[in-house]
Amino acid sequence: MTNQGHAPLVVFTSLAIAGAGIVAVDPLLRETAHAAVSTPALTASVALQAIALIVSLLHLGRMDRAPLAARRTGPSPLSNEVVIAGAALAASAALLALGWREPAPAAMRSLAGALCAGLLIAIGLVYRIPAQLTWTGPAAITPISAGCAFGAVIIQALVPDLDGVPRAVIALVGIDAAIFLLRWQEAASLDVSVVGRVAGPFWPRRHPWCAARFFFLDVLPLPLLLVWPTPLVIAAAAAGLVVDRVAFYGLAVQQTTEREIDRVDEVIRLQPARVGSESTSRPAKSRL
Amino acid sequence: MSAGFVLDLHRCVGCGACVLACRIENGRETTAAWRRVLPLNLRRYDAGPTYFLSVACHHCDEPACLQGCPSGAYEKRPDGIVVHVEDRCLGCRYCEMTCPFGTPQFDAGRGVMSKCHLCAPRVDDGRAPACVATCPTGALQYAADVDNAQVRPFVPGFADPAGCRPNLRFRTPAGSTRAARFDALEERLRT
Repeated sequence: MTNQGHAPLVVFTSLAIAGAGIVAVDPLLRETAHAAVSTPALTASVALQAIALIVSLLHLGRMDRAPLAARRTGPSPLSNEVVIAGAALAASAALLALGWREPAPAAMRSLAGALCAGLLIAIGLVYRIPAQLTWTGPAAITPISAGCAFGAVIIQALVPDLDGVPRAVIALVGIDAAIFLLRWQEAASLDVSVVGRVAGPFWPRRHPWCAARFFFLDVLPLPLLLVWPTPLVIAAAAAGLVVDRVAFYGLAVQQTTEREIDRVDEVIRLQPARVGSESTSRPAKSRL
Repeated sequence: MSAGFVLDLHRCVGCGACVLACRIENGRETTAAWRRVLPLNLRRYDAGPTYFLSVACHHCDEPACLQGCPSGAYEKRPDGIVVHVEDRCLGCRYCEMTCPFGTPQFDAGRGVMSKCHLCAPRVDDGRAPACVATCPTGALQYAADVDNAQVRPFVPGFADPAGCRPNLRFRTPAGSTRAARFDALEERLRT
């Protein structure tokens, strides 16, 4: 699949991670920071999750067969993601409906939070594919870390009487920053001379993309929370999440036979023609 | 038993007849070709041999496409052939991401994936797959059980980092300058 073909998945995962992240961190923040997901935040979460599911439906080649996606729940990580996404949306919507007039029961909040956290984990597991050389390491954990950091920042931004940034929010953002730095380090360590020829236009610019993601999601929101411009905090965190997903798919490097041949061709090209020679190998005129 | 292909690298001249035969037999458009011929060291650098890899689906023992598919659109037959059941395919393209050989192709016209089925109808009739039957040099061969073939599982340019255990085997050149280059390249890749 080309990087261009990943566009619907960028939209789907951005929306799903944002929506699920808000509800997933709610139980954690409620216990430690006396902050709870507000009705506007919950409404946004439900809307984001619903739109994400619609986008994922629209990207199918055969939408009429969408119900078959749950057929291999258990063995297939993609089936698991679809089933958990449906359950998380239903629980979040129920939470919103129950809490419209009075606070929803704690058990309901915990259930919705657990399902949304499960969705974030499931999204990570879907892309933990051995054939994808840049997705098997810390990249598989970034959906849950980024989702929780995003959710914590958004919930805090919507708390009316903020007195400093709670430790739980700082911890969640800090954990995401640490995980993403590992991911960045992994992306930096891959051999660009081989990977770059098949990885598309994103690869040579991986450092600006990673830096932008790190700045918008892990650096900028915390000081903005102290200054309290709510729209700016939401915009920064949302931008960070979108850049995270664009970079995730943009930096995809799939193992294929074409890529393997490319790698070996590069080895041959760079090999000295004879032992002791300083020149690299040269093309022959007529020899197989 | 694992059905698959055996490719003789010394005989394959990269003519592409297998690709054409596959398209004709299975009615494939050029955008969704099931078989492709990939040249290695096409510019003929001194440091390596030049040969062609004619590849399609390898009907792996542990197929990543089958394992990841959410709708059960892939099945492995008792003879080892991995078939794609089009009626169950969602067109989610997940198998395109999971296959470490770039095998499944998206058929935009029908909105589903497609891939080589080793000409299963022909094999069931006791005939060779179309690509094998057409190969003018006899480089591409069908094996009902590739494990019994005295051949190599991997050559430079063909790797299985995902542990899918593909059922493609190779015969390599022996006793020639080409063979020496081949061995030297393998040694360099190992180190």
